[in-house]
Amino acid sequence: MKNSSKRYLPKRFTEVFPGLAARPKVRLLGVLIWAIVAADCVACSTLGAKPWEHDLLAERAMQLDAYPIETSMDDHIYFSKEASSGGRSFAGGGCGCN
Amino acid sequence: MRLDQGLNYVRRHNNDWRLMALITLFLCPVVQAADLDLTAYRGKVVYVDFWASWCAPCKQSFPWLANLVREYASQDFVVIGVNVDKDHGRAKRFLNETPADFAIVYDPKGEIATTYKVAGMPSGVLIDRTGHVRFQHAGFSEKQKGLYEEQLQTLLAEKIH
Amino acid sequence: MQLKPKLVANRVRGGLAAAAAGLLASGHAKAQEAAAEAPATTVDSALLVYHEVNRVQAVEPVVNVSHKIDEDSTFDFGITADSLTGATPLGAVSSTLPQSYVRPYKVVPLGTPVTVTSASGGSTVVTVPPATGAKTETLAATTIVPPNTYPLDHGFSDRRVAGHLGWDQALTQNVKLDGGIAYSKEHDYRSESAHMGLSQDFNGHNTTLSGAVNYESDLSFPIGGTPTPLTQMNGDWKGPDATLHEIDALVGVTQVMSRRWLSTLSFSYSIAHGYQTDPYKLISVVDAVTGQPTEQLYESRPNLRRKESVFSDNKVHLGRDVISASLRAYEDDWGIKSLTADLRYRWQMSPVFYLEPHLRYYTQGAANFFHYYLVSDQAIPQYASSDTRLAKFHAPTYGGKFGVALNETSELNLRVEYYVQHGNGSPAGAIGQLQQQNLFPDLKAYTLLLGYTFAF
Repeated sequence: MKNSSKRYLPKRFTEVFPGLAARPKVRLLGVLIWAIVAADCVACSTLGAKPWEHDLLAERAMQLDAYPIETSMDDHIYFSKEASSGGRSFAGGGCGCN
Repeated sequence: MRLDQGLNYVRRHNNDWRLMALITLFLCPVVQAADLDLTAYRGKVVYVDFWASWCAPCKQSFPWLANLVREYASQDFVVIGVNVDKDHGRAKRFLNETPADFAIVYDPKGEIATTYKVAGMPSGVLIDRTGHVRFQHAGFSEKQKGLYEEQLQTLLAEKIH
Repeated sequence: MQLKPKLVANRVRGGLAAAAAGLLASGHAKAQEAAAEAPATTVDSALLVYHEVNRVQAVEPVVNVSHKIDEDSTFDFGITADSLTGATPLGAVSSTLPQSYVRPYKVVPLGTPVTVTSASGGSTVVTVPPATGAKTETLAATTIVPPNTYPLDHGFSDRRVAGHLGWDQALTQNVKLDGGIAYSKEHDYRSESAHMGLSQDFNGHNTTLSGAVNYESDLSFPIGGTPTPLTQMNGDWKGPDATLHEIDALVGVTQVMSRRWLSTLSFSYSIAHGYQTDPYKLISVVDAVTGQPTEQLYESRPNLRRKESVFSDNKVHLGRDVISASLRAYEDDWGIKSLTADLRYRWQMSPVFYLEPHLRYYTQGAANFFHYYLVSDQAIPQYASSDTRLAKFHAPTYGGKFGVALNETSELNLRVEYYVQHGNGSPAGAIGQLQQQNLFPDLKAYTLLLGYTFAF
């Protein structure tokens, strides 16, 4: 059939949102946002704190597992009373030294 | 334009993304990176140590730095400790417990750290007798002490004519 | 005979809690690096007092020791013991008529004199008639449950001991390896596990990618033996020991969002294969008209369970105080879906004292083989359990913690929590007398945790 090869292709933005696509300001803004997000998404490299700004992150209260006994007690108790269990990751954060 | 006229102009045109982008760029503060004035130390080898009270390896590096000062001061070697604590009180308490036998400079905003592009805590920057940065390392470990001392000796051996 | 009440009634729990402790281990060295300066050894100890209203009580001391061997390696070990007493639900429904339950608890040589006295918890000892030619006979305990009383199994006390060993090694400035083993033993269950994890930092220690794997092997040897699922309750000695194996895998990313905000996201996948039924739990078969229990069957759960969960945690430092908020979404192939939300606000009243109110909200859907009861005129399904831990319920926890920093590296703290489980005790379509029974009484539990950490 005539259009069968194109049936499952994603529609272009301009076909889905013809009204929006007609406004040049929106298109430019869209391109700008995309460019910013794409740049920021690159390995989260723009997020974070400078190495000398890890003072607050070094505090005990800011560690992901600051009180390991509490965490394991909680896991133990909730695991015996509830149906769920789930592993959590505790690596990362901290002073970032060395 | 007067200030209020200018503000009204901005208010009327707040949906003009080009104007907004221009204003944002303009208002973005240009980082006036502070610098450490080392002109007084020309002719000496300088080790700039970036440290903080919340950094555990920093505490270990202080005695080693003190030893270096004792050993090499006669060869015109100077250590400058740059403290990056935001809380000055914590830095003072740290120094009370672990006194430093070298000059301390306070850099709470991290401007000097930015200038030297500090990549980790603690950081050591070795500057030669002509004032150029020759070696820089992030992190302090027992294993690396030998390497750092070798680098220092290389710079000490260079004499200015 | 009294059934042993379990704080960790489900064996899997006891083992996996230790496994969970293993998978958690990778963060411990970091906490130490941040908190301690010169001290190489940190001792973390605590005493838990757990009290369920009209159910189980437990006391559990625990000690964990972590020692920095050199700047790259840390060794840790810990032991814990707990002592349990009290009662747990049998799984059977309550009735307007008195009911009797029997459980084998000991095998003795034929002809051993036995005093038919009431053992603790209101049960009496009976001798089960031995098969012809048998040299031994079984002692069983019968419990009478009065009318309109939620059937509980009052047990004797039990003890559990568990321990773990771990090692953390920094391979480079950015890569860390950790591993450990754990062991747990109680009167009728044994669990052994080993785990390994790897983490790598990027972007100047602002981003951390981590992965861990845990393997666990459990052995269940219930008192009275392992019953054949969905057979009638009786005093005969049951079947042999049963095994369970589980593998868990975890991947996570932790990102420093800003100087004040730390965020982590992790995915976990587990496969458990083996005996996962609770050998002591029953499910009642009731009359299709009156709703009176006609027989009690041993419950049955599938041999295979696949679990997935997504977990997100955020910590924000407000300058003096710290907020922690976490969310976990869980799903498994037993049809259970759950959501856990946790919020804490650490109010740092002074550099020495802090007060941390805590709120946790948990909601879960029922397992696809959960039934409050079975009906006599309907076919018995392949899997069936009336254990309320697999039912639909929601459970808030209200708690608070008060802490005192004794010096730079030591802290004393006290945590008090109140946990309530609210389930539907009057499900729609309840038959006959079951309409006037509470099929899921609220579970209420108080916990007290006294903790002391110091370093030297």
